[in-house]
Amino acid sequence: MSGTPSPEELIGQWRQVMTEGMEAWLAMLTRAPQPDVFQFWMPFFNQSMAPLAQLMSQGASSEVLRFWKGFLDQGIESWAKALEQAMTSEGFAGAFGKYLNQYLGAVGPAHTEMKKANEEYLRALGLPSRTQIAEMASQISWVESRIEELEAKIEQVLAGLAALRAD
Amino acid sequence: MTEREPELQQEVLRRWQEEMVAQMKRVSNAMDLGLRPSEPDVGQTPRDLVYRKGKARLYRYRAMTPTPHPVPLLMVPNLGISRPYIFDLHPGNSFIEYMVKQGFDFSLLDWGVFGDEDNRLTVDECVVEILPMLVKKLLQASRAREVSLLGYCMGGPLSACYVALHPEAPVRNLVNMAGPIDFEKAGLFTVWMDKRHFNVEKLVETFGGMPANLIRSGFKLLKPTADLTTLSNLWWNLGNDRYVQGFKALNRWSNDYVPIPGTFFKQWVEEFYQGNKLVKGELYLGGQRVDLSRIRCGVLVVAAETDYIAPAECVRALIDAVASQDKEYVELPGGHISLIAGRQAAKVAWPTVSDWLAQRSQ
Repeated sequence: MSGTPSPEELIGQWRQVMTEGMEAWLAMLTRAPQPDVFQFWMPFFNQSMAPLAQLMSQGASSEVLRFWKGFLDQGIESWAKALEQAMTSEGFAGAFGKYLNQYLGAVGPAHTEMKKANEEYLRALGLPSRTQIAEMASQISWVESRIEELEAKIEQVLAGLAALRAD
Repeated sequence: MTEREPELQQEVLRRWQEEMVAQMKRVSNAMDLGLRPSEPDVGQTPRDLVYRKGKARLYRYRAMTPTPHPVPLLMVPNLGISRPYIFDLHPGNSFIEYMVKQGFDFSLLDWGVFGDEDNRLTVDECVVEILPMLVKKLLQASRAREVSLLGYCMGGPLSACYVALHPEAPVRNLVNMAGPIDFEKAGLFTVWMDKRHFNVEKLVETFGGMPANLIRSGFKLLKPTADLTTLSNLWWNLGNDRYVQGFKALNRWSNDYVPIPGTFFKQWVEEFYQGNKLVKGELYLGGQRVDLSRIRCGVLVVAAETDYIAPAECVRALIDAVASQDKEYVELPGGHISLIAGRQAAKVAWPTVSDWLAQRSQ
């Protein structure tokens, strides 16, 4: 079967796909916006699974499949280590911080405006705003704490009385 | 026809049948996951609500043995980030179920799901007000005189702070499972949250708290290939019903992120990560200095060899900091989660914790 690639060729294809993925990922890490990890890697994963499906359709023995799975896991692990090394660097931390600042700078005003608009909308409807509900929840929590303190004091007094009676 | 041929034919037929059954199971499970993604049942061990304060709930799971250990166990997990049903994932894969079957009167603190109204919650409040109250309520409910504390992840340092601030508290044992103590050794998070780069004040000012979606991104970035490994393992185990059931529950949990209240998060980043004040003895909570050398109860520290959230050396630091005579450090294979869920946890981590505590809970 000259048209059917051998397991070695399929593994070679897979290795190439993942290497390209790794290079693209590393390049994207230093740019904003940060990629969605899952969405980014999913196509590479699917591509690397295709040769495996082909092997299975060729009736590959369970040994070959186990070998493939082991190879896949080793590959993922070594890429994970390489990524970790890249992400431990000062450069990455700096780029990450810079990106976060840019993101907060962009999102912050929009977030505040949206919050304001929501509050005004709720006020117009005569409904309590999130801030007011949050405030009320804090007050309830404060009252709960005071009640607990009182309970604790009453328990102490009762314990003292019981001790006195026992004497 | 050789003598062995009929035998071989039988063997081939048997293996073919096995393979067909396995393949059908794979297809059925794959369709189930893809087309009918049912919500897995989690947290099924029977429990009672013992106490509530704000969002926090204290649940008690009664021992399932005729003669329970007299010292109850209180588990303090991380605050925010993820939900505590990971400790009671599903029958047969539940830390809580395992512990109650080992005779422990087990209580779990559920910090709750935080909203804007909780953004003023502080580390001080958690350690100085909530934890002492929980210990008191647990002692009342179980009619015991002492408790053992088990801190997991962020719950580890919080529990250690509580015991250090209250050395007179009725705490017989303290177990720190994967809880960071020396934050200079906390791996990638230490690097990323360096004060030169990470502006926590701006983040909290913008969102009020640490939003769940940003926590998700941070954790996904910590191990970008984790999803690949998960998918690869799922693909390989699609024919295994038990594995698929476990995957569903764990997958639900691992995508269920919880925000962290703003003030708490800011304090956590600035004082624990950036200042590393806990291990330096420079942390003040409720106006008192937290001195880990005031801890004298029995201490067990459990770290995971490949934990990238709380690396072993950062967890281990508690052992050197406490003054306890009875202290032990164990480093187990696996990562942060494999200490509390999964096959490895059930085989190694849970028995390690249970055996150590059982000897000290009489």
